[in-house]
Formats: sequence, structure tokens, C-alpha cells
Amino acid sequence: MSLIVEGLTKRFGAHAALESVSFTLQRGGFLALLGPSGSGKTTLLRLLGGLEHADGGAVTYEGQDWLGVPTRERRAGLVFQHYALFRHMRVADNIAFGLRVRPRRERPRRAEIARRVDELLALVQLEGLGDPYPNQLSGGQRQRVALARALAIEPKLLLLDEPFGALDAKVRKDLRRWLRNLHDRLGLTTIFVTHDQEEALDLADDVAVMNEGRIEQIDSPQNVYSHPKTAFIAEFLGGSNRLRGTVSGGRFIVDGVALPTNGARVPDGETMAFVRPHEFAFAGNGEPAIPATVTNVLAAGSTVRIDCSRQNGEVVEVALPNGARPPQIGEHVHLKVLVHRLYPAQL
Amino acid sequence: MDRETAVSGISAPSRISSPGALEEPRIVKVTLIAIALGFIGLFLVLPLVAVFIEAFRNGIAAYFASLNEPDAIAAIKLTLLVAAIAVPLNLIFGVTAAWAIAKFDFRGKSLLITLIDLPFSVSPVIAGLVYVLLFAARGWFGPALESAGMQIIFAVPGLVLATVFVTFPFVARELIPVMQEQGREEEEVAISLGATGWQTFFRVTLPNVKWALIYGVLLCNARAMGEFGAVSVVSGHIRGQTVTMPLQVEILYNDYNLVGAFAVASLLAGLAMLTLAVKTVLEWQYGAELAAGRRD
Repeated sequence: MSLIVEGLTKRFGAHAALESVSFTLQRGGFLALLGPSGSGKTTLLRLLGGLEHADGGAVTYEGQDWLGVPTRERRAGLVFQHYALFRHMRVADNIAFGLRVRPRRERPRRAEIARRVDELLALVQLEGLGDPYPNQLSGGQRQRVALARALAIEPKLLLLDEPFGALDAKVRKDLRRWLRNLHDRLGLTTIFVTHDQEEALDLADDVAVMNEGRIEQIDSPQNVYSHPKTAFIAEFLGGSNRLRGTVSGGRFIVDGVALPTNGARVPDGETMAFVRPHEFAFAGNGEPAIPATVTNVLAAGSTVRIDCSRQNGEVVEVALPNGARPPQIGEHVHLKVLVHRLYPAQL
Repeated sequence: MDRETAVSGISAPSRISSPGALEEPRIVKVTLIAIALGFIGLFLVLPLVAVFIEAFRNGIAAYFASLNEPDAIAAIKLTLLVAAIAVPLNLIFGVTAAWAIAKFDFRGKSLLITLIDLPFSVSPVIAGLVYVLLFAARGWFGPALESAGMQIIFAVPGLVLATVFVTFPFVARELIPVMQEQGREEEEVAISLGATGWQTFFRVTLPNVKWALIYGVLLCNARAMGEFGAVSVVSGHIRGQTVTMPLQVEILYNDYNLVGAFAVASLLAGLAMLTLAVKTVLEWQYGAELAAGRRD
């Protein structure tokens, strides 16, 4: 009983928005589609919601040919970044919409609809707020109304497109914890699209990292972060610095300094190393380290962020725990690499 | 309260002592306003007043008598009939076109947008002549229509055609920007919630554009009843049969029946003023709703 996507393809003119995307999502799972804009994540979501037609591939959900089910019969609950609430309807009417448009014999009685709406308002913590129009609510409230409206049809699949993108940071964080709780409590199957890696890693059971219409890796947040499969993911996640060097004889050589490859299986030749800011440290005497010059120091927050200019002029970003003595601008330093991920350089 | 008066007490003198760069001397302001008002008075208000003065020149009884002429009554009825056909037709066309343009991407979309504006840029007389060329007895389709027993030119169908052409853009032009601004997401959500196409249209799309729609229909109606040029060409001026109110005004005027001409004209003027009044009221309402919709 799961969602199986096989070889899903979508083209807009000559541009391939999705290229043979395949994955499986267990019922009750929470999947994040993460990627830069234009990576195809929204297209994938819209295909699953029935808002676009696929050019190829198959989707099976609970044993059913999902792409063959008409949009209005899929019971896919959609939530958009800008809420897309029916602006001329009161909140309660927005939520009741999915129940009221049912064919007469399936439509609940009026009293039953009112009861369901009250229940859903309570569920999204908006008790007694059925009367206002959407534009009288705050952004966070509107998004919860949109969610209640989607939940009213008891969705088989909840599809969220950047649901927190238009909200401010504090509301965003609260709402995403709350959404995760709701998902677990109601036993929903959820797919949500985001370009915010922190959100994806924090919220989802599985993260699918997308790039140029493909899923580059689909894995647990931990694995995606610690063991990125491709150079793209290694650079995309965690604000990595990119060091171009050469691998030869089991060493990675950059700026004339030989670093251990830490057992990475990379063929000899041009190689790219990705190092996150906190994976640098200042080196002691005699340790292999990259020489650099401090160009900027930002000491606010839990870490000190230091920009260092390497010999070739490329700037790397270093983050040290706050408390250590920060270096001065212009100071010459030696950077030790604690962790790096190596990928053959693409031509 | 205290704070408010204190603030205004400070700001008022400072505004006088340092006039802004855009603040004109009093004399310029007064002159400009006088010119604007004088112009409007001379070219808009005065003629309107003149219409009613001329219409009532021989008294109220004469006014109503001239409206009670069989020809005048026929003209009023015909005008209402033509508008009653042309406006709904353009309502349907306008909504369809606006829907297609705002909600779908297709080839030839920009061409369609341009074509909708065509009646605004083409002289109505030419529109009338084109219909004569197509449908008159010696026109392209004339013989075929004649053998089918249908007369278009110099008959009511011709009047309707010409009016539809001229009032073609009003509804669509009002709807397109509103619909484009609103995007497709609400409709997409509605469908995904299980609504049919019709339910989506009547419960989501239409209520969202209702003010723009009413506004467009009003303008369309005003123009449909007031159109002269295109209608004049296809009408043939058969008294009591193919003469609409604007044409009746011309006929009466040419007959030196000034009271009659201005009595009918006063009805048209009254219609125009009513349209303006309703439009203004709607703009209040519509403006408030638009502002509310945009508040994010």
C-alpha cells in the first residue's frame, strides 16, 4: 500500500521539467522534495495532484493507476504557498467547499457539514474563526485554513507546495512542527515541496533532492546530509565550500598541500572537494593545512563566521564555535580540513 | 486628542513657511481648476442641460406626447430588443474569451487579445459597411440567405450584428486583467477538492470577477443602446421598423421636429447618466473589495 512512481517524465516545449523520475513512498510517509528553483519539484507535485499531464511514466497508488484517476476524484489535498483561499467565501465556507461540491447522494447533511467544519477549525486551532473572510486573517492563520480545507476531503495524499514560503521565520518554525504532529496524529501521507533545506531536513522522514528534473538522491535527512551521493548535493546542502584540486597516490592535493582522502574511492585526476564551513579548523604546527588570509569576520551568533581568501583568491567561508579568539582581518591563517567529500571534477 | 492637535499645530505653520517644490502659487491652482471646470461645463454639462431644456421647451405635455408617437415607441422597443440580444451575446463571448486568455496558454493568444480590441480601433461605419458587403442582397452571402428566406441587412438581425460588433470588447476588456491577476490556483484547488468544471466556474471564478463583470455589462449596454454609426449603415431607416433611438433622433431632427428629437435624446442622456451613477456606486464597492483582496 504505497505510492510508486516510475519513470515519470514531463516536457514543456523543448525543456524537460521532469526526466524519468522514480521513487516509492510508504503510506503514512512524509517526503520532502528539495531542490533549487527550476529543479522540477513543483512540476512533480502538480503531476501527482493531477494539475499537469505526464508525458511518460506511471504512478500507482494503493494498487490503482493514479494517473488514470481524474483530478477531482483523486482526493489529493493541495496547499499552495499563497494559500489560494477562495477570497469571496468566509473561512467556514472555504473549509466546507470540498463537502458541498459532492454529488447530492454523497453530500453530507447541512448539520453534518457544519459539525465537520467546527471540528476542522478546532484541529487547525482556529476555533470560532469561521466567520471572517480570508483577507482578515494573518498569513499563518490563512495557511491553516488552507490546510483545514484540504483535510476536509480526507485526502489520500496531502500535497504541499512551499507551504511556509510566504510566512515569517518564527511562524514558519512553529507551523512546521505543528504540521509534523498533525501528520503523525492523522496518519496522513504527505509530500511537500521546499527549497529550504533546513525545513526539509527538520520535517521529513525522507528527502528527495532534485536537480534539473531528476531526483539525485532520496534518503533519510541524516544520510542525505552526511553522505551526499553527488557533487551537486554536497555543494547544495550545508553551504559547502568548493575546493578544486587533484587526487593522486591516495592524496588530495589543493594549493600545494596534500590532504588525506579519508578512504574516499575517487579516481586519480581533477577532483572537487566540498567542505562545510564548520568542517574547517585552524591548524597547529606541522599539520597539513591550506594557507589563507582573513578578509572578514562576523562574530555575531553561536558561531564566528570568517571569510578567508586562499592563495588563488577564492574565498572560503569558515565557521568556528563562538568563544575561541577570533582572528583579525588581514591575519594569515592555516586551515585544516576536518571533513571533506570528494567527487571527480566534471568537465 | 491632545497629541493630535499638538502635531497639527506644529505642522500647519511649517507647511506655510516652506512650500514644497511641487506646490504651485495660488493663482496657478485657481486658474487650472477654473479652466478644467469651464471646459467640462462648456463641452459636457451645457449640452446635457440643453438636451433637457429643448425637450421640455413646449412643456411637459408636449414632451410626453412626442414620446408617445408610434415611431418613437417602436424605436424605443427596437433599441431595447437589440440591446437585449447583443448584451447577453457579448456577455457570453466576453466571459469565454477572458477565461481562455487568463486561465490557459495556447497559440495565438496574443492575436486573440489584439483582435478583441479591433472594434475600438475600426470606425463603426466601416463595421456596418462590411456587414452590408457580406449580407446584403448582392453581397457574398446575400443570395444564399435570400433563397433561405432570411433578411439580415435592413432588418433586425443586421442591427444586432452591427451592435454586437461594436460592443464586442467591453465585457472581455473588463474581465481579462482581473482574471489574469487572480491566476489559476483557486480553480486548481476547487477541482482538486472535487468540484466539476461548472461548479468551479459558478462558485469560484464568477464570484471573484462579479464587480468587473457587472461593470463591463453596464458599459456594453450603454454603448449598445447609443450606437449610431454601424447601425445607421445596416438599418435602411425604415420608420417604425429598423430605426433605433439614436437613428430616430436624427430622423426627427432632420424633420425639424426639435422637441421630438430632444425628447428621445433625453431618454438616451438619462440612460447615460444612470449608467454613470451605477458605475460610480459599483466603483466604491468594487474598489473596497479590490483593496481588501490585495491586502496581504
